Amino acid sequence: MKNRDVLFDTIGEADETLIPELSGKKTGGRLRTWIALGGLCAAVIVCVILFSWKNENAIRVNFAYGMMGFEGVEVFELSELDTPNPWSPDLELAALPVYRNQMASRYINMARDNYPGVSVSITGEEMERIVQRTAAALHAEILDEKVTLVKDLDYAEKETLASEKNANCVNQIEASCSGQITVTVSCNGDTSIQFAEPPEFPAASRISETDSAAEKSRKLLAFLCEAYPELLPYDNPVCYHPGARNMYGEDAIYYYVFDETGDPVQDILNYSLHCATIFYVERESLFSIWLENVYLSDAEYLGDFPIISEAEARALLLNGDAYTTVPNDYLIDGVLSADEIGTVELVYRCNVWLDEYFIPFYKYYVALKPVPSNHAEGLKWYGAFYVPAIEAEYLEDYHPGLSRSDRATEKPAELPQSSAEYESALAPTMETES
Amino acid sequence: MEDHQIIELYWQRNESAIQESQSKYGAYCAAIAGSILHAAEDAEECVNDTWLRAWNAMPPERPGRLAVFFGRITRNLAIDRYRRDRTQKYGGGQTALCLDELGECIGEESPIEDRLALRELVNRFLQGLSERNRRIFLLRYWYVLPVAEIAKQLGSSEGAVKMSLQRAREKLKTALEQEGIGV
Repeated sequence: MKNRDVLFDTIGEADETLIPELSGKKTGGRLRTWIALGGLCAAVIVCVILFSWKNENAIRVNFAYGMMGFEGVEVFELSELDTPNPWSPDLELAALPVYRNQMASRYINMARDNYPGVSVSITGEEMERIVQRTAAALHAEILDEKVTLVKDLDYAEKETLASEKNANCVNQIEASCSGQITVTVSCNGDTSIQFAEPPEFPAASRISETDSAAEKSRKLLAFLCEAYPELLPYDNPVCYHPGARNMYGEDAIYYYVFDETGDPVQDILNYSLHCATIFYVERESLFSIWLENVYLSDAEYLGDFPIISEAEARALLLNGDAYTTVPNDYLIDGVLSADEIGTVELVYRCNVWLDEYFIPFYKYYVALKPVPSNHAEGLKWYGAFYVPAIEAEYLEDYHPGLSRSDRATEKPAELPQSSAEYESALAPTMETES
Repeated sequence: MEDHQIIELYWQRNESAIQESQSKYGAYCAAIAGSILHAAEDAEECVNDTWLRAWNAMPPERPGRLAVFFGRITRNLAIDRYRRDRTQKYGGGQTALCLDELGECIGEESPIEDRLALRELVNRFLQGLSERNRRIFLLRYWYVLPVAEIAKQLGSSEGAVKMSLQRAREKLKTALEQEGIGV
């Protein structure tokens, strides 16, 4: 092999934190990375929200987009998107809290400085306590433990790591337990439980393949509460299916659980930021549970900020003042009309590694053009559109305008401007010469 | 489906991992393979092979950035195929151009033996570039995109992109010479 081939290969092995997205215009001060936001179309959107304080009360919102695809879901009926979201349009809320996500801040700062992307939020002792507590909740005995330090990671050979203060921190503890259960705790507090052998469901919780997603959710939760009452750290857990389907029309295989406290604000936070994910396929094959319980404990509370009403947010949406990755011509007749707005919920966007701030958004599902012919018959496509719930006067540089063609200049270049461009961006590049 | 959920499926040896990967990253990987191979069928084959490689890699791997993890596998598979077939089939295209351009940076007098040192040098070199120049360099030599496509993505002229690439290659050449790699 020639040296130039070796060099070409070596470039391919470059530090992954340096690899840019495949498409996109770099604009000053933006951070970009991949974030997957669910959905069943071939959709990945890249969104990083950067907020910075200009003064005590102002937040600069900057949605940065990348490609591929757009965020959307496929369902047979709009009602499938109904979830037990604690927010409803009737809920009269004047303000909601905003947090700085310390984990992402550390992670992004390290990426900026080309340090390995490990953000340590909890100590090895805390991780060990979680392992012990989780194993006990599963009635399992810990047979073996594998502890990985940050410096043991693949990229530990980097010189920079030697001076990095977290080099000797525990990155992960993986405990092999009786019952073929593996409990893995990461240094961000995420806890994964994997069942090599699915646990047996008692007769009362048996799930039938003809059960609705809601019924499956109910039975899954009943089983967990019965079999492992100490596992979920919630007093009043609510389990639900997100309603999404794959292109074949099958239910997504994951379910969410959050704690309903009765306090609307706390429940809204729990719904987005303090929940568990259960993976269940069929025939009682529960195979994994993820507990994501530490995000708020490692977030800095920045205050309660006044929010706009859903009606005001809807008006902004119809005026084109919303963030989305949906190309305009995926909209029915190319425009966003009130008739196509399917449903709305209030969520905190949450990617624990990437979102530097947690703020609330009204998330609208808008009906799009028909799904491709190779998708299951009867599926309908809904695209996601986000309107910040925080009053605009507290937001700097708030110029979403993504769904209005006359404001196209404000669209980030990463966002495909049309479905043709979107498809072209995803298609193999066929040019032969530059 | 979120990345950690897809990774979980691989770890659970659940074959729906492949379906979810294809659904989410199939087009992305196809674009990378297509840039290198210029043949849709071959690109598709590389993408399919990507999921198999990923299946064999996870566990024990837990990728930090799943897109890059898949993209890197696809890139390697496509380059392998390109090398295998180039004399018979392709004989040109972006990959050949990229290799020619990189040939300006490195001599062929002595074969590279310490690939680890080369990798460290490349990472240091990339870290030393401005963000814009690094982006241009990697769009060209990681994603193997045509200069015109890079210019379009950056809203820049082809001349400006070529100039940036030229300067980056000169920097890389200097760094390689200083380390005595390939000289």
